[in-house]
Amino acid sequence: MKSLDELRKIRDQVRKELDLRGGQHRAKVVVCMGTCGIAAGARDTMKALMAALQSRSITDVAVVAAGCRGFCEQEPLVEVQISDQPAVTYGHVDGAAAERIVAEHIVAGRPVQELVFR
Amino acid sequence: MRDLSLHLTDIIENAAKAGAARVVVRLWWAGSVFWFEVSDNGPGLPATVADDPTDPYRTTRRERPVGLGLALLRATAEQTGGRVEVLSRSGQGVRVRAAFPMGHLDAKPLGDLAAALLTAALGWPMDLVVQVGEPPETVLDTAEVRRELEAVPLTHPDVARLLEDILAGAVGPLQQHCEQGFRSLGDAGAVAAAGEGAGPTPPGARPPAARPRSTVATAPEDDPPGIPTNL
Repeated sequence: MKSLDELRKIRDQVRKELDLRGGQHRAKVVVCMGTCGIAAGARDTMKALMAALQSRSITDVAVVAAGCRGFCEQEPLVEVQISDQPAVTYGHVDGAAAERIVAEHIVAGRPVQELVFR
Repeated sequence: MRDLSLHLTDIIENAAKAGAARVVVRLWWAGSVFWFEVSDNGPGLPATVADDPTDPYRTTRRERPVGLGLALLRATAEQTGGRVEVLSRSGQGVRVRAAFPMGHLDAKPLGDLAAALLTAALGWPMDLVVQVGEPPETVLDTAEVRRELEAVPLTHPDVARLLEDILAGAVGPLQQHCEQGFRSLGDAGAVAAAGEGAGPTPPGARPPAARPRSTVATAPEDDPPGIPTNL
């Protein structure tokens, strides 16, 4: 595998930053990636979430995939879990909605009520 | 699914949800036939599913007794004369291999293969190995990446960007082969199992009809599923 040198450079640069925050993530964003989710565009949603976090240089929020929860008609579904707050589930999350969720909920701490799935 | 990369995402996700610690994805062309293969070292398919894995009513899902992933994959492959092979052995894992004749009029686009691999690498905890071409060349092994990074997560933006570049570079030639009428990689290698016919099919022409012998569920002794020890 190529690029091992580049990986080592990144490791050395980032190490200090990790020591400062103890390596923990303060929030987790779970994207449903069942067959229904994928067909509805959940992978694009996941990319949009990652891009929104990257563009703001946010490194303490993890975006992970999970299987179908059974609410297929609401896909793409995204659940935001911020460490000391109740989890919030959003439905029909496309790229634009993903950007709003990162900007308003994850960064500013205000869940986006009109996108919440009840 | 709109394109083949979404099927790839779906099959990798099956392996991840089964709890596999390591998944090997291979992508290659044989003339005008695109192949992908996803092998995992999870528990393998239970007997009730292994009998006919592409039957949507045979599934390990708990929310409802229908699993569409393999059924949809088989439909996509067979609609252009391709096929799906599912090999499983209890305790060793599963291998799903699919062939898509891309010269067929009804062929779906490849889609964003790099995005399928990147979201799989970053979104699931298992190790992902990506191999391209025939014979396969390893372009990414996230176990090796994790070893080099030590405590830095794969999801760190600098790492994610590097992985994105690596995958885009690896997948580019695969996409060009399609765009350039299946000529850029030559008639690379023999098709792993016979049936697609010899040589590239000109775009738009009907390829020789392949018997869709999908869903081989019993693993032959000389070709077991799971992951070879050297990977």
